[in-house]
Amino acid sequence: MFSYLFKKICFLLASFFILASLTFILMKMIPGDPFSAEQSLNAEAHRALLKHHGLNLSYLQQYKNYISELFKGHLGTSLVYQNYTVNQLIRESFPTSAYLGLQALLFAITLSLILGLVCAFRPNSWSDHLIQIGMALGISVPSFILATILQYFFSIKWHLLPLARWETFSHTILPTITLAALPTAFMTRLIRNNLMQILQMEYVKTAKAKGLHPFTILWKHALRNALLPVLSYLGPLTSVLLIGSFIVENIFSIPGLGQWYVKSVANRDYSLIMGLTLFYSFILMTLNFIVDIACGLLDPRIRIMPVEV
Amino acid sequence: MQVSVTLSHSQRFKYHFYSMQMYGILILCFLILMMSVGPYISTYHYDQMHLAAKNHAPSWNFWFGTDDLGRDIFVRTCYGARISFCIAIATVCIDLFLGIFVGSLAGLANPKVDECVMRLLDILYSIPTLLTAILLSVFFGSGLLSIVIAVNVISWITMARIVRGQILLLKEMDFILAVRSLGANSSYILLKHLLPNTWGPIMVTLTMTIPSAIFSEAFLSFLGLGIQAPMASWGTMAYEGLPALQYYPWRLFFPAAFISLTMLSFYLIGEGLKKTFNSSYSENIL
Amino acid sequence: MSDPLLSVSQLSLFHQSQQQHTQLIQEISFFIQKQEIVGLVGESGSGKSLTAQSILQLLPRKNFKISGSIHFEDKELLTLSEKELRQIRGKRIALMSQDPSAALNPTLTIQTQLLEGLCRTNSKITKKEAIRISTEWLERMHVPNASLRMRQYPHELSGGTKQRIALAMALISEPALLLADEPTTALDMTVQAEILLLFKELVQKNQLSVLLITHDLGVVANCCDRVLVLKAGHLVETGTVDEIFSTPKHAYTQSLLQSKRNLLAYAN
Repeated sequence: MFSYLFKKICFLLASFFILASLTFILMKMIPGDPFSAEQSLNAEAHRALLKHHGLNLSYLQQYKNYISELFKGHLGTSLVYQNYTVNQLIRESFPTSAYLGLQALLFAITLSLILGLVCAFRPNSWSDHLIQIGMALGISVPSFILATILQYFFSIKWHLLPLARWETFSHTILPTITLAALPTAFMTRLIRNNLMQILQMEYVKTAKAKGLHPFTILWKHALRNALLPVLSYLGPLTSVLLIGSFIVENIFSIPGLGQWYVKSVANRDYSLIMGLTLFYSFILMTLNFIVDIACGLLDPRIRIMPVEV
Repeated sequence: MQVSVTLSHSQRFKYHFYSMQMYGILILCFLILMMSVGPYISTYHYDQMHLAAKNHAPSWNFWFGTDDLGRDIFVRTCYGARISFCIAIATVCIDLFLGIFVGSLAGLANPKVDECVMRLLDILYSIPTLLTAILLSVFFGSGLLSIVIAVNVISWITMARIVRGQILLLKEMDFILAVRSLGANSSYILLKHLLPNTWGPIMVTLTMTIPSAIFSEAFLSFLGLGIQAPMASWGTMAYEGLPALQYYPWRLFFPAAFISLTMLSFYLIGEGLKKTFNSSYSENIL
Repeated sequence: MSDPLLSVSQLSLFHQSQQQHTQLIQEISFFIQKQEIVGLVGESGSGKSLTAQSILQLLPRKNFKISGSIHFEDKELLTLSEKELRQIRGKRIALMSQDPSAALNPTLTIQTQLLEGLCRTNSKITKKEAIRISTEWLERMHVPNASLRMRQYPHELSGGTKQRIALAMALISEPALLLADEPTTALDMTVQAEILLLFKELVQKNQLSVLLITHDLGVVANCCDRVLVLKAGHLVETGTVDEIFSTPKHAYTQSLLQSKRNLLAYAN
């Protein structure tokens, strides 16, 4: 058990290290330096700026500084917004994004569980077909389109919910629905397919032959096995939520970290882009790691022989 | 003793509803038609500006309306289809060549090499795809080629894993043993026996990676990193159409509808294929 | 002769799919006495497993329709509601499936699965007591290292052990009738012999009756008191083991026995 954990942790650290190095290399591959585009600088000011940001040192030295800064947890300083460190930015905006993400996650999990259960228990019924259509739409319609449709109907036409910004709870409803649409569709599909498969399995028949109540069978036998793939999907799911947040925060003018990321890309603020990318990657990789461990706990077969599927 | 019963209406409906592939393929054919024939039946060119006709609603003159530079949206949508098609082809090529190659390598090689390759792939895979795409786009600039590279740089890994998994499974089967005992070498077995049996999972995975790539392009365009003007991709059109939603909704509607239709068609085809091949694959797409 | 434990009369099973309506079991009638092992033989597809599942009505009601009468312990099973059926399943009639690997839930320990059956019959039992009884049953099934096995998962055990555990799981609530569906097919010869010995032991000691479904006539000869021969849903012959083996009346039974004899002849 512990060797399994240890291997996974080493893995995690190795991945992160490689990504950090990759981002560094990419940044250094841009021709010129970040300030050569600004014409108003004279040569001395230019040199001073370079020195200030440590950009006049050799690449190796810069790399060492970069890595040591990372170890200390400093993700860099913004080039555009002077004296604004990435860490500050994260501290200010991340809570909002996290709240939105978590709310969307909870919503997605709850809704998909309910819908998946309905489908598995009444296969090929009207409700099943309806939910399947919903799933197809949820997977095909990109979030920015869904967001605009929701805004158009619920805000502009029917005046039920606020259009944008982030003030009261009702402000969070449309963004949450938009963000949760794709994950819900995916998870409903997963749960439905898995449950249907499992309900065909022998051990469910045996449980029925033992005379157990359908709820007991569902709870004890079916759900655990059916939820396992959902749990392993949770890793990429966070990825989806994260990427989705860029669009949603943009459209709904939500002051979260995603907006900053989009702005930094638009401004070509390389150091901010790097810092935020590393931050996001760190979260995603750690979450994937936790999900892996959780899967191992739930399914004893994985623990003893970790198998690639 | 058999008594046949005629199908009731609802039963017949259910039977046809489940020919999902049929719908998916129909939609796909329609899109391909639009892409190839569309620009020829329209009298306009995709970057032709009609400054007097800015932001016109759909009419007989301009079938899908015009954008804020007076360009005909119908033609631009058709060109957008071409770009998405290019991306799809590129994804298929990269997935097939890189993915199958590396996957077969890992599957057939001895366990140590397999382990190494898989660890490497795992590390690469754990790096968030879309973030990498954004990084690459930022650093290599926009343009069709860099978008294509950025979007596909990690997605082939899914294919490699699926191929490897399938080969590992098939490797142990008796018919491979039989061929081997007849004196076949590895590449022969791979090409003639293993790969043909892997087409099922490969095709299903393709129906997942292609829409993912198309969506990534739309997403990158949405962030402003996409195809540059005056070329038209559905993503850039949506990006341009978004701010004008309240007054000129058709500018967003058409590219959005087409993106959704494309994703839907691949989804349907994929679901249908899955029913045919009757197995469950890993559902991790993004 | 006292009343039979299970009395099946004109049992028919119909399957309804989108296009077809087929009759899978054709009005079969048989009975099982107390403390008796009855063998149900026939080739694959003859409807043996379906008979057992029909008795407990485990088949989905949407596609499968049952007609006839199944009388068990002065209850008419086909008229019972789902809730009442749940009182019978596992407690009075137990089913042991063909493949023990599939019948055991891979993500639950043996202990959980055994306790599940036990705690239904006896809701007042403490967990400690339940574990003790379960371990005893495993020992009765000749499972070595019973207390260790309790905490293990199905995939860690061999086929023979799993079969014994499946048997323990079926018997732990002390039912009156055991429907054993091909209990020995997936096992090797020595383990087979042990399981059959177990059956005979249990019938003697625990007032159990067994409906032993198999396609292996050797098992029947070894273990059963009476035999029912099933072909394509029809019950073509019934009788004691001696009767069937010495003077088979129906052509099908004769051909079954003949093929067995041929095999033995080649072996010698």
